[in-house]
Amino acid sequence: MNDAVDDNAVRACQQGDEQAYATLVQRHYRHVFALCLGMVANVHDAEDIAQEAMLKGFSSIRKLTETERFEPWMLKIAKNLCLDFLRRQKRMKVRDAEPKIEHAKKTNDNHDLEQAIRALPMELRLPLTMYYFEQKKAENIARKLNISHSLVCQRIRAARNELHALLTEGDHHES
Amino acid sequence: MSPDCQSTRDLISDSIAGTLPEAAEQTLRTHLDACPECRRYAQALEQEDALLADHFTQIEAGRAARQARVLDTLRNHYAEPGTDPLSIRSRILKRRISQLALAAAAVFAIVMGLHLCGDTFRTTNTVYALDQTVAAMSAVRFVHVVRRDEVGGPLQEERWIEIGPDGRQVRYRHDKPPHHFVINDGEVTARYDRFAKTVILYDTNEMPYRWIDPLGQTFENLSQEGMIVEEDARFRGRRVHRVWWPMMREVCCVDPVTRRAIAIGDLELSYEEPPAGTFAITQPEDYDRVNDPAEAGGQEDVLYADVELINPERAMMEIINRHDIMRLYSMGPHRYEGDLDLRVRCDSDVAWGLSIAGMETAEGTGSCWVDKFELAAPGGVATVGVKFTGDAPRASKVATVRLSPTPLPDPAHDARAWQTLGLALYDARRYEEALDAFEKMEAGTNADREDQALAVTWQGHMLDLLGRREEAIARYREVIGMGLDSSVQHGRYGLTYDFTSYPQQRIEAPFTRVENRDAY
Repeated sequence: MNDAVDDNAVRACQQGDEQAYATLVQRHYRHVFALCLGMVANVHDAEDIAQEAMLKGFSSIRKLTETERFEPWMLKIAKNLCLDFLRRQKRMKVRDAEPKIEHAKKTNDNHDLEQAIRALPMELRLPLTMYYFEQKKAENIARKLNISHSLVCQRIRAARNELHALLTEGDHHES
Repeated sequence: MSPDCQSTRDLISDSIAGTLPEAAEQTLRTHLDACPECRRYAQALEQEDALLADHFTQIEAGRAARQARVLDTLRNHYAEPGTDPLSIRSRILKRRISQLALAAAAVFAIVMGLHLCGDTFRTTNTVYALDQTVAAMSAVRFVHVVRRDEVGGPLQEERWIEIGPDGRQVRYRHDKPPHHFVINDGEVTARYDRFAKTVILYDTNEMPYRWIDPLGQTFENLSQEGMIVEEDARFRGRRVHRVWWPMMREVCCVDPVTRRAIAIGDLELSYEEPPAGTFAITQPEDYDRVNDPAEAGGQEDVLYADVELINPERAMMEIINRHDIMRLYSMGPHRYEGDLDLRVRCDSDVAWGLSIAGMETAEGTGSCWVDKFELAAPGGVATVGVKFTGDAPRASKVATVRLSPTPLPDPAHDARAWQTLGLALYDARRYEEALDAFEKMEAGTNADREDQALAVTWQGHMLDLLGRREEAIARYREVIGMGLDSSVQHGRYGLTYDFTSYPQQRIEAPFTRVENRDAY
């Protein structure tokens, strides 16, 4: 059903109905943004990349042959842009640019939480972020990332354990 | 923590995620009732779950505004048909004024680079610092790289790289006869297959092809971990500074005037502008164009097979799209089986090692080779392509290629890296340091028996040159004791020896210095 809505909107866009793309933005922006946020771990960068991805999708819509598969196509564009961004960012980083968690004793501090999320490896951060954007449904994440349900669960589990370790790092040092 | 508690923590995490089966929930509750430590852990995770939900809800609250901004931008785009919001880079390259501005910026960067470099040279004529090379290399616009097996011999490999003012590769051409030939014109990548007489075109984002990526990282490594081995050395008749570049695992020869590298290992570098048309993609008359992603909706003309991960505990793998391109989250040594064009995403420098290991160990039902390999920065995308001849499995789709990409260790533990450095220090007559390097070579995590024998032999050489004869003889005896029947050739020193009769000769007569022929 959902694919049919996309299918119609994509076909309309391809036939020159530019406004039909607004429907696609409204339906998919949330997921594209969640993917970008999970990958780049910064709201502002994620917004920029998600916007660039949506615009790129618009410019390239005529190349989409499987018109009912707008979402995976769009997510692939976003993923590639994120990887490109991370490559550029890595190049510019100085030696000690890796985020570190220092004196993270309180778990009720959003700043510490953000830092800890950022310090997670991307393959753990991405499913964890999407988990909270996808109504906590692992099967949605599995479909969007095109990986198995069990792998999603495994990564979310690993992400929680790792996050807890990061947030309580200071406590362990003191004990 | 007991093993029970360890496994319970996974159950706690699953329970919070709502993915724990009912029966396991009961087991968990029983354990929590009896274990205060796990109870605390469960409470902490629940609290963190609430914080995470709150954190992402706050971010999600801004969605309407963000979405509105996207729609606004799109509306502006509708209003200005003909503008392309797609790619900033392609816009820059396509617009004549911007092209001129880009060229001006590049010229400015080069002039400033040379100016700074020249100033540095004038004021510090006798003092050379690695940062001068980093600065000079950062300013170059074109790099021309060639490799020959011997001086004046035929080209084994040639690359042209154009670098933009931001330090990123703009265009690229790589010709490695007989089979490999690629041109990336900044927007499209053309991969020519000289055997099949085909050309495949890709969007450059799909098949980027780069020589070194990221450049910044390699320069950073040179600046921070490099070492000046010899300031007044010779390389093929030219006066050079010899520099150890750990990330490249190579000795680099630097021009004393321009401060740029003129050789890295057996690669020769120059920086002239390439002939016109170097980066132009053309289709020879007798070549077929196999696929045009722009016309075929971004699909690629490659075959993909199921991929079996042999060592799953060390790496995670996922199939990322309907073409079953493999992405491998690499976290350590691993093996995998696959077919053509494997995309590998690496979270560590392991990718650097993949290229070498892959080339050395690829095997298939026909003969095969690694067609291309792209270095991935951590978090980036690397690409390994494998092509076949003989019983080419391209048509049957049943082929299996086994790559054993054992990553290279960190240069600090890499026997081959220490060997290269040890020999460079020997060239520079820095025997104490060379001895230390050969001891580290012997201890390298990837040193096999022959590496160890070679390392101990050269320890003996250094000890002889330092006049520590007794210790040298002990080293030669140690080599004989290893009982290896292989031999080693050092072409640049004109040395060929085995590990039995040669060390015996050195016990009878000490090692005397031989010179590096590349210096003349």
